[in-house]
Amino acid sequence: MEDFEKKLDRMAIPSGSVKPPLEIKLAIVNAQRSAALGIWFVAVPCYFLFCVFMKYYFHINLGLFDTMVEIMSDLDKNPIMKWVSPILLVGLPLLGITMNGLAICHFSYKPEEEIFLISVKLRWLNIAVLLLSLALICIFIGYVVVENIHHNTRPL
Amino acid sequence: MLPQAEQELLQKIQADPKQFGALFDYYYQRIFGYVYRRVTDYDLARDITAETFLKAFLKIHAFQWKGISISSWLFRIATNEVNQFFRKNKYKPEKLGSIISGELFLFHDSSREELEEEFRRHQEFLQVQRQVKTLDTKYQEVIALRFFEGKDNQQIAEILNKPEGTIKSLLSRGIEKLRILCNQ
Repeated sequence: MEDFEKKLDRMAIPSGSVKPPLEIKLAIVNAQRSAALGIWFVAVPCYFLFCVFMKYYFHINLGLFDTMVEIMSDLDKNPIMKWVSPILLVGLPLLGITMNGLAICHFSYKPEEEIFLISVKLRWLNIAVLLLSLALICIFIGYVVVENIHHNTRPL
Repeated sequence: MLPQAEQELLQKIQADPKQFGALFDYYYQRIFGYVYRRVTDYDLARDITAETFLKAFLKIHAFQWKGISISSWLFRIATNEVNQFFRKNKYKPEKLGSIISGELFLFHDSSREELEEEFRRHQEFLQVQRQVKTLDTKYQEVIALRFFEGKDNQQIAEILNKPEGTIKSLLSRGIEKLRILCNQ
């Protein structure tokens, strides 16, 4: 055992020295937690979209879909509760984008050079959640826009 | 830094928080080196070191000079941060490390490359370190402070806030466990 201890004592240790950074870039919110929460936020909209595709493209009716649609149309009748569906389908992914964006971005402003710097940390899970949330929002908003155009251009 | 100089710097920081920069510049390399030698992951070491200094900055106004040096206090915060990481990833430190450093962070960073190259040249250290990582954190911290950082028992006791006798027995048991692992 003493020999081993001596061996450890004699062992060459890497210095591990790096220059101190000029500034520390701290994320505004925790990256791992944001990614985990983001996944929960997009779970319902993703399932909803998946069911829509299954029903209208493959004609497979997944059990919960009809119940979801029924609940949504019931909620639509109530002036306050009608906001639940947009919050679930668009609001939560929007929150996911904000949280994951803040978790991987660092903002700094250098007034003397008039430069605004944005650094993005490459955390792929956060980026994936962010892009998925963005895609969901685009799909839902795109659907609403197309539906409105379609509705307004329909001949009377 | 001498205790007298540390005390003076502490008074300056407590009067003007902007003076914390001097402390940061002086101790950054040492703390980063310690964290990197324990986790052997550049990004993680940078995050943990940043967190260590952030916590130090937030708590330094309450720091009272009771014989324990600022250096030991910073090492204590860094040790707690590293232990927290190992506790959270108790069963997969290697896996998580490889995910973070293996494929996802391939952008050019000369500090990282130099550092990783230096570590690659210390194969004996890397082999021992790999085994140290598998030990319980209470053994990891004493072994790392004693053999990687060159601290004596009194300094380790100060950093970990434990009696010297406890440090001695932890070291003795830790070395024995490490010897068995290294000989396997």
